[in-house]
Amino acid sequence: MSETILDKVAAAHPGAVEQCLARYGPLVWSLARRLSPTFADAEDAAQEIFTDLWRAAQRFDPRREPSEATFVAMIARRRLIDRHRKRARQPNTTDLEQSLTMPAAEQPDQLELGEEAGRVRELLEQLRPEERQVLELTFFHGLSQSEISQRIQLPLGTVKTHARRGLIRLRELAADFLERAKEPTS
Amino acid sequence: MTPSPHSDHDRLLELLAERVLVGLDADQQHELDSLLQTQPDFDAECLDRTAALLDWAVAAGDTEPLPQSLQDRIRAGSRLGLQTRPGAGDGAGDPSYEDGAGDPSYESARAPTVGAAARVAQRMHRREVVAWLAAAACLLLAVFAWCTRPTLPPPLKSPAVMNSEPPVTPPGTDTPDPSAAILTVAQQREQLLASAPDVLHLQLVSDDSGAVAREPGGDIVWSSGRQMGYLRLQGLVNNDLPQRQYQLWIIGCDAAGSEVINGGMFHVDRSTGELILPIQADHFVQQPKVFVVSVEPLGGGHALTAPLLAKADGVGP
Repeated sequence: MSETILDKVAAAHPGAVEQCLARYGPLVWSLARRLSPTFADAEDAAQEIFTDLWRAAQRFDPRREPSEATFVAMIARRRLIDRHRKRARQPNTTDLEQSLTMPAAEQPDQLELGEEAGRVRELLEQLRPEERQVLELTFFHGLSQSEISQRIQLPLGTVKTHARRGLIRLRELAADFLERAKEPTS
Repeated sequence: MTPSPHSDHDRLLELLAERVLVGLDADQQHELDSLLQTQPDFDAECLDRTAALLDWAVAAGDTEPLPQSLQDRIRAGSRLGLQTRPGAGDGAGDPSYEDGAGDPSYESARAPTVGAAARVAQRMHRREVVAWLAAAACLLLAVFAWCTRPTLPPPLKSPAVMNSEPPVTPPGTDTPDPSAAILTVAQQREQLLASAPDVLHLQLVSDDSGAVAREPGGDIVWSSGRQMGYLRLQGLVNNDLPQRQYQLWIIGCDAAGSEVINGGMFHVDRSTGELILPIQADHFVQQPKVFVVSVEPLGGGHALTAPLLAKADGVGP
């Protein structure tokens, strides 16, 4: 089995950090920007994610994880959720930004997804419409559940339920996909 | 009454979904731990992988690299991080849920806090302790320098009007490029124009009847990748201190729709010559559409309400 980038990071190979930054920097940066309120916060988050990654690299198991990229995304999400919860416990300092926000306009869907990503999108299409909508707003648009509740005019509890059920259903639908992703490619 | 295995299974999935989507509080984490103990073969990360798949799919079309300064910080951190990478069985700082079991939001297992400092320090190598002490000394030095700085900043982030001649350091930059310290604002602007691959260069057009400007002109230079830019202005009349000042706004699109971002405030105390101002967006500008200069009450407005002075628009997606 060929050595992965995370294997090299775990073994502290020279150049492994550079490889990791080049390969997964855009992924981490994309998620950090999407789930952080400010540019500075996104920078701090990305730095923390990579620190987590250095520490977690040795745990990457290609037999267990669909791919290195999804492992990195998993590490990133944990850190970003953690930071979100910490912010939520702090006094609200977002009034200024909220007051600067104009009434939301519908954003055209301009996501350029690759082939594999397109298949994930197809899986989403198989969900119930309300579950799909909540998950798309959560993952594609980076909205919090409170923001989604306001945006689609549903009670927060209902939004939470749709999100949970949608994710659980997606896991069932993606089971085959995740297994296929684990298969080695030549 | 003992809950049925089926309801346990459903509840377990609910908690795992909640953990992935918004995190768990202490009670929920405790409940999750208990349920996982009763189902040791359950894949506790199954929904994490599903969410990661979605996250990866979303990010698949996004190829913007990390900012260079951030890459440098990460590289610097990796030197220490890789040295302190825990060995097998030592989960300090590891973001794995497994190591965070029993810990609300798996935080203390992942991010050492002040309260945990002593415990963490016991596991540190001497070299790391020295590094931390050095960092603390630097922090104290920085605090001292901050407390003894000669002037107080304005209440909101506000770029001071600069003549293009004197050397300045771009404000609001955590780790300024050492070479920038000897560049004028005009030179920094030119440098951005020449080096940023995604740079926007937009002409300002007057949208004013002449009350606050005499043939205002100028342009905007902006790089979304670097999140920095410059506003160049000509022909503005002095703002009537202490009542009014100028403010730059950036109207763009974020994930939720349109947004108006404060790009910084400035005074004009002379009506001739060229002014070049570093743009100080107070949060991330995802997709700028229109740049607007307006006249606002002193201290700046929290929303774009004052008469429009000049704008640069027509930015494509």
